[in-house]
Amino acid sequence: MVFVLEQQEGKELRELEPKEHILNIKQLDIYYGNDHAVKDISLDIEKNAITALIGPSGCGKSTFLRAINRMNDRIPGARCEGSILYDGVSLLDKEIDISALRKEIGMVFQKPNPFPKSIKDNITHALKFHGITKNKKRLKERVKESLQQAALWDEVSDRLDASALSLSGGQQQRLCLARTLALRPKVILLDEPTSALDPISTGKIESLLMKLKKEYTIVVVTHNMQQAARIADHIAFFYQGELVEQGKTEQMFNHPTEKRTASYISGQFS
Amino acid sequence: MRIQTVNRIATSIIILCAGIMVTIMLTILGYVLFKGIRFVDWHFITTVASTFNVGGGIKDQLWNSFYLLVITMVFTIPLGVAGGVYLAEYAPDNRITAFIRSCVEILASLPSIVVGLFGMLVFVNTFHWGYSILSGAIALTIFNLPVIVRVTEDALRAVPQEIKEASMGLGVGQWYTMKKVLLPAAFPGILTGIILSAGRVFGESAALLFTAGLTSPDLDFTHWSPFSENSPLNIFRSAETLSVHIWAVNSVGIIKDKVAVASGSAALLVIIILLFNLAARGLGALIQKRMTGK
Amino acid sequence: MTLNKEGMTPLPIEQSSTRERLIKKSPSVKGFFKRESELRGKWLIYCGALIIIIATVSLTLFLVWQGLRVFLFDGVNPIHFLFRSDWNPGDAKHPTYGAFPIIFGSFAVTALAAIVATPISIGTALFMTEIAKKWGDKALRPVIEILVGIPSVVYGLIGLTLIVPFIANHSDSIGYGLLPGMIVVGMMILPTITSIAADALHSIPNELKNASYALGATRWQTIAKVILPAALPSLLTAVVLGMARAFGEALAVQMVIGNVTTIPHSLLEPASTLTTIITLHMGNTTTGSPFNHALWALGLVLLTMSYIFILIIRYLSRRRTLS
Repeated sequence: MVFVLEQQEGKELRELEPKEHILNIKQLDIYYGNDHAVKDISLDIEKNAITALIGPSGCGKSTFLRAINRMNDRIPGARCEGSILYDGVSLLDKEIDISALRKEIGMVFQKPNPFPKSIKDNITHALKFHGITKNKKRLKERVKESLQQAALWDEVSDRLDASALSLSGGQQQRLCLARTLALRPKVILLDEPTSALDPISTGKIESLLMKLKKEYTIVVVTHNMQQAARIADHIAFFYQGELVEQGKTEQMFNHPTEKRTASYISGQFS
Repeated sequence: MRIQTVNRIATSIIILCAGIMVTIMLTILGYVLFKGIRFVDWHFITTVASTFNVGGGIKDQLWNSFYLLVITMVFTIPLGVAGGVYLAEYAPDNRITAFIRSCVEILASLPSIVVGLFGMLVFVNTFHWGYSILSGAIALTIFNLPVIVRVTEDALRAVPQEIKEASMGLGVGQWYTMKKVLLPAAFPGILTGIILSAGRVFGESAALLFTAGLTSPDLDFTHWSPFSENSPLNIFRSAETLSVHIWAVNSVGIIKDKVAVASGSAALLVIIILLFNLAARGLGALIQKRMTGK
Repeated sequence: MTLNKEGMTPLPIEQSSTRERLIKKSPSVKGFFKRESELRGKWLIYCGALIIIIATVSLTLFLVWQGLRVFLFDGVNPIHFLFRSDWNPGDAKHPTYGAFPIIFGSFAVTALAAIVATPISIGTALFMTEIAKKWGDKALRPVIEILVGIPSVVYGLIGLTLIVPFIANHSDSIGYGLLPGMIVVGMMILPTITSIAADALHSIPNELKNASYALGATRWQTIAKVILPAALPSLLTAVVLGMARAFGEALAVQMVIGNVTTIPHSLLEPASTLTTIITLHMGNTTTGSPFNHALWALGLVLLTMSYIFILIIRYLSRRRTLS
């Protein structure tokens, strides 16, 4: 039903600017041992847009997000079935080079987690590993560029060698974003990136994401409904491991088709 | 009323126990330092030991102790850190890992003289290295390895999991993450453990009796070629350390001033080990402070 | 729920480029020698783990084999060796190998040291965790650390120059014997038992203690009826670890025990232990001689006991995790 609705609404739009989906997830099931954490989820992620995954905690949205760049691989007993196509390539294949995958699909975590190193080293760490450049000058340019993209450059340009742990929580989270951006990924996955931050820092990150979507595809998990409404183009509502409903933001907020969506969005449960 | 009396008596006994503990520590330190310190002077430290006469020093023994410590650490640190990294990060949850854990436990609880016997059997006799610094250093490595393994594993496990995820999330490999993020983050803890274990190695004697030996050749401190017979750097020569010296002058020695030599050596040994302890605490805290930038 | 499965516009896919970037490249030999090679790092780590195994296994096998020689090649009866008291392997004509007094000595020193050290250690641990909760731990940890750090020869020297003369002056014995051995080894295992006991007492949940205090129990009643029983397996582990250390202690004991291979009848009589006889004679006997082999057999007894201590500790820790 929902699908029909969306197609009707989006008809004119699609003619104006043809939409492209960078990620196609089909019938994805994730198990932790006997726990069926994510149930038969199919979802397409639009390129250069922000998709927000919402739902009460424990609903499988973080697990789903982590599956996209295979962060669940190292969890003992975790199992993934179904398919995730990224630009037509199946990401769950054994053949996939996880390192190369994560370079293209970056991730920012809930708690700011900078390395206990200097601000500069936080950004060059992965650049050096991937062998992107060894040239000092080019590394420096990359550092500057990514810090500028993350709107952090003006605050830290004079102390790049200071410990990243001396930054405030909000700054740390933008640094984490910057080091992901430094790899020039195609997709950025954010797992509740502002839940540990104050409102001002949250605002900064949100406006940053709005800007970044021109160049990147962004998937963000959030439990904050207002945040989803402010920044997302698309919303997917997860509940107890299932994808209940998904669609454009306005439509999800104004005319949710599912009762559960409506009651979650209106704050009847969380 | 009676219950209260019992309680009071029991409490007093417990306090007495703690008092005894502190008294023992103070007595030992006080006795060793005050009895020995008057024999420790520049002459004592810079004179070679005497076999018969009064007035010998401990120059060679002191050198041997430090040299053996360095060689031991050269072996132990890479092996122990590798073992700790394995157990903290690479070990799959299977029988081999459980077996390695048992091995670490066994090595940790073996008496040091047993390790010394093994060193004698294999390195001194079978490999024909004789009583030598190399045999001693390998025995001490086996003795010290489990300590470094545990220290490394504990320090790595204390590093927040989020930091590892952050690095892996950027596509950085396990080894590079270990080398550039996790090990540096665990460094203060590992360093503290290494210095503390260095104190233990420095004072060890039973493992060395039958591996590094009870004698040293006359060391020629102008001759540094590691292959020369009496070069201080030669690792195939026998080497009596300071702690072995303390035992030897009392048990098998014939010098008249053995009380002076033993007391002086003991005071010096205890001072050096206390310095190791202080350095371990101080350095660990300092690096931690620097790293967090606070 | 399966919204987008069918009916969506098919995507224009540039297979080649993305696929090329994301598919694993086959590992090259050259790559292994690169500085940042993941594979090389893994090998390095596995080598470390392997060496731990090699060291433990070879140590055990070599010492067991060497320790059995006296029984296999020199015709010594193991029963005689373990239970007879005629230790005289140096005798040129009629060497005898009854090592019972030596084995007895090791057990005697271990048990006596544990008897001396356990009450003081557990008392101190109780002081740190129950009496002076705020500062006890902070004040006594350094004390424990210093005691741990003092080398065993220094303990031996103190025994030799302080305790032995003291006993000689205050009794009609020569001073050397089980008593100074017990005191010296007891002091040495104090910090071992105390620190593990303190950790064990720390891990007793506060709710348990508060429940007892809430019922009006005194501090001692709480300690005796609640805390000590709850911590018992861990406290036993602490004592066994201390005993393992006491059993293997060599030079400090050797300096004060007197090294006589007869069974002592009182604390003031000299005795000997496995470690002291090995220390005294291992360097002076000819490799391959029956006397030398007998010493290795003593080493084997020592090794076996170490393994038994480890098994006891394992048993205790399993019981701890079960309860």
